[in-house]
Amino acid sequence: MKQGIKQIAIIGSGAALNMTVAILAAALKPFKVKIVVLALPCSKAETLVETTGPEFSALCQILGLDEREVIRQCQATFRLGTHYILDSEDMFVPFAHLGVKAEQDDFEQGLFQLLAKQTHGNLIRWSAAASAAMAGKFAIAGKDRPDLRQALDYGVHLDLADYAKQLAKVVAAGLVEWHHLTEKTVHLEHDETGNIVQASVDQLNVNADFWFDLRSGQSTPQWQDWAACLPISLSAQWRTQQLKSQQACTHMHKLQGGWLKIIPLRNGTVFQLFACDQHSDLAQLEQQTQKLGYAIKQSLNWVPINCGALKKPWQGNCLYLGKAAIELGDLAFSELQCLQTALVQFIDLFPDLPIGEHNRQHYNQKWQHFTQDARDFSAAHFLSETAKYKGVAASMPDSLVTRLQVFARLGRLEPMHSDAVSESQWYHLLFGLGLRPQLSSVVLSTMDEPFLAKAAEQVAQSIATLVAGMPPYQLYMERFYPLPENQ
Amino acid sequence: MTRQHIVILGGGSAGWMTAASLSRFLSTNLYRITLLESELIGTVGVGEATLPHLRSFNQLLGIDENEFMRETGATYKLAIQFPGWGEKSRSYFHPFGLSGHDINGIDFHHYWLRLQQQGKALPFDHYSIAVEAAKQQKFTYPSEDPNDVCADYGYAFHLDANLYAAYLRKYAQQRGVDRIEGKVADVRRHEEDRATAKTGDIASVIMESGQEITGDLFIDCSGFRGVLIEQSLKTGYEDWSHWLPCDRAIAVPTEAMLNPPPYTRAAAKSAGWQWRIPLQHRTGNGIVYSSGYMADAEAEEILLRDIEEKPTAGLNKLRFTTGKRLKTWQHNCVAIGLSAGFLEPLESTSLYLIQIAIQKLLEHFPKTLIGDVERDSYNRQMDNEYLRVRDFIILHYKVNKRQDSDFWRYCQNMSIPDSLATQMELFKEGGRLSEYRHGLFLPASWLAVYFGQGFMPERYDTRVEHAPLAALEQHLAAYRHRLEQAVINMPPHSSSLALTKRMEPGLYPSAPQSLYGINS
Repeated sequence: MKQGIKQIAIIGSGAALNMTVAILAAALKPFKVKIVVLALPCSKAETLVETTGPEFSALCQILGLDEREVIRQCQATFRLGTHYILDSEDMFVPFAHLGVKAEQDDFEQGLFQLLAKQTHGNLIRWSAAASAAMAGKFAIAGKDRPDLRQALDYGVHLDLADYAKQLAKVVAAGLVEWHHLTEKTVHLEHDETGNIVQASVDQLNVNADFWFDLRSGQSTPQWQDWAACLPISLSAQWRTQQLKSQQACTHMHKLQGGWLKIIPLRNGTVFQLFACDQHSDLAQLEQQTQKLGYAIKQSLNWVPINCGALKKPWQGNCLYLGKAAIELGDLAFSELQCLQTALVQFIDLFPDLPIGEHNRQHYNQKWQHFTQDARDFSAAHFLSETAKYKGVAASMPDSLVTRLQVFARLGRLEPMHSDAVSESQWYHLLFGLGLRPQLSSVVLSTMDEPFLAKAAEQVAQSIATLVAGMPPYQLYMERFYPLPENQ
Repeated sequence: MTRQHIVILGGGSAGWMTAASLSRFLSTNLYRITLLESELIGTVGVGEATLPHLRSFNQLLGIDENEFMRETGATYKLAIQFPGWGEKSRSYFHPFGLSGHDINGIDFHHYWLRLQQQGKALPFDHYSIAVEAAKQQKFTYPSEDPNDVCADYGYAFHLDANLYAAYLRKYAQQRGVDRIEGKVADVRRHEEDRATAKTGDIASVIMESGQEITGDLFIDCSGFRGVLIEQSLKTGYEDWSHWLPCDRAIAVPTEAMLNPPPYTRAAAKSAGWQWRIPLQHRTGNGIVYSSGYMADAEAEEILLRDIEEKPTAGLNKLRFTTGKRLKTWQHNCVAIGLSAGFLEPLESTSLYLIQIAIQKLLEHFPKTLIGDVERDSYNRQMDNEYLRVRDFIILHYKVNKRQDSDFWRYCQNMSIPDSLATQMELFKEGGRLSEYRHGLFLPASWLAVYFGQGFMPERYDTRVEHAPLAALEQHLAAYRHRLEQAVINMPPHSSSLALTKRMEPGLYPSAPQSLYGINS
């Protein structure tokens, strides 16, 4: 006899918990599902900022929030992609495709052919998003220009404390019962099939039909360790009031033995420093950061990271989420991005009781596709480290090796398994890391090099004209996204 | 750089589609293309039903759709009708379009299931505008406004494959493709004892005339025989006939229908199925059957009994083994069309599989020496395409409930590939569908077959029970009314066909890369 889920329980803490409760409250509100929240005390330093991709707009729709208002209230800035400052040269990895609009077939391959002999060089001129960001310009195209919207696809940086307040509004409108706990340990009682039937903590007993667990799952045997291919071992963050970013993007500096990520907000800047090896010289990383002109005023709190993921995050009547399901080090994907993907997939497959085994298997398989793509993209950031971190090359996942081989030979991408990474992001990253395809596209063989160069120049010129006509980023923000009066 | 020579063995749809595409994209300064064919060897091509993807193929070649329709005697196609599948008395359509729209983020079919269980819903395909238009023999181009109900479909063609091959032959020869008439007598390979990168590759083919034709890349479009890929390279073949037991076909053309409908018909018979493909100048007919369950004479009798127009030619009898070459790119030889594999044309996938093979070949085209990377990547992607089609066709047989013949009972009880079993179990459990990211046939197609044949899930998403039943019933009725009104305003298929005879080039919508129109 089928039966709908009447009550769910969520165990966790911090921003991940807030996001989980908000998404479920919004999505399940029409179906009158009660949500019980067991909010544990935060055990470690919370991230200060959230970095989203283009999924942010869809998320606001799911949550029923006004995107513009969220941006205004959360000290948010826009990001058209990530600006990488490497040893050799800069590169930009935008969300949007190359060209002003989706150009004719093999546009990317034509560019690779033209630029084949340049060891250095980047694709910025042929990306409207990258050109705009680098020129300090920004605009969101009107709904009557879906082509431009696509070409300038954006995400945002949000102050997490302010974002939590926005999410709280969504939660308040839902059928949610909060329990703020002082104890960290929750005792779970299982039935003979392995399903959770009750949670006990702080003299409180909670029953639910379905459970969401955001507590760390890295000690379980299900955890797949990715430290070998994704060697981020420590991270630290700090915030300054300095800087007013003139560019709509995230910045990433490649350091010796690590990365420095710079995330602008409207009232300051958040810095995240990543160490790539257990034995990294942290002091040296901090020195490199300061040499770049970024002051570190306090002693940094380095947090250990062990990249990996749960192979099957949906077990029985429980879905593991957040850091309990995946840890990618926050380099290319934030915890909340992964969590949002997981929840959207789950809501698509929202189960009845008893929970179907095939539904669960299907979710876990889709999750594996997402984690594989996200892991490979993150791991590709360490390709140039292979000489130093010899283990990385040897332990490169097969899927990434194949992707690299196909790109290096043909300038094309292996079919993606999920929406975790856009084709454009892969093209920009692989080309920017110095891979140059051996073969040129046969589809372009009727065009000689001067013709191709002229066509490419025309596209670059159209982009330059488009960008020249866009408003300066700061002006656009002040005009269309004025800060609330109390700030 | 030395000019590369590409040799295509075999005319027919596969050969000339390949020749036309390569001549469109390859520089004549860098590549020479030769197609070898013999007029003494017949082609399988009869009336062909296609998928909407053929429109993008034609547009890629710069072919005007209206000229193409005139030259190939084509009619429009919105769906496939499946009488007798599931149960002998049932009939359903698989449309090139969506049925209904999701509500509150939950797929339409869950709401439909709830009403259907209450006896308050029409058959699932009644909520598809493509089906409604097909049944009323109407046709107009889909709307390009995503908010219009008329944007919820795509369209394909019924065409004369021989005329299509001839049309493409003219196209290719105008672009410099050489054609050599004659049969191949022998195939020579680069010597095995000299370890070079070309070891084992095909070096040349020797024609019966004695002419030797050397080449750098050979494309085998020689049909079932696989003269290069199998007879010479011994690639091997994966036999799928235990899952798809039909192994014979008989085709016969008949006179044109007075008012050709915009859909293909694939009517189930006691041990197979019979097709009807309406063209402008004739009708293609044929029966596909399992020789283990139906004698050739019986098949012939059923075919001739059930055709509706007068035959215009004799019977064309074919034997086949359903399956796929273990590798469709082996050494310097790429097999395209029937030499690559055979899947019965139940879902009109033959030309699609040729088209996608050409597209993948262009993406992986070798410059000089062929590397394993491009060969392996091509084979991986083509394997996936074939497997997707295979599973979907097996589904039609597996979910049937017919008890009137041993053949259908066998199909109900036969084992199926794990990939298909997983899909079916997921659906059976709760009406969920796994959406492929690559390859043909998305949930809209699977739902058409599941519901069309009465394969119902054990439960639907219980969240739909929060919608008041009366309001839901009203919503579906209103949606259905919108479809009917939209179809009333469409011109008859015959009028739309007549229009193509005098229509200016380019007055048709651009082709989306989808079966289901721009909203999919």
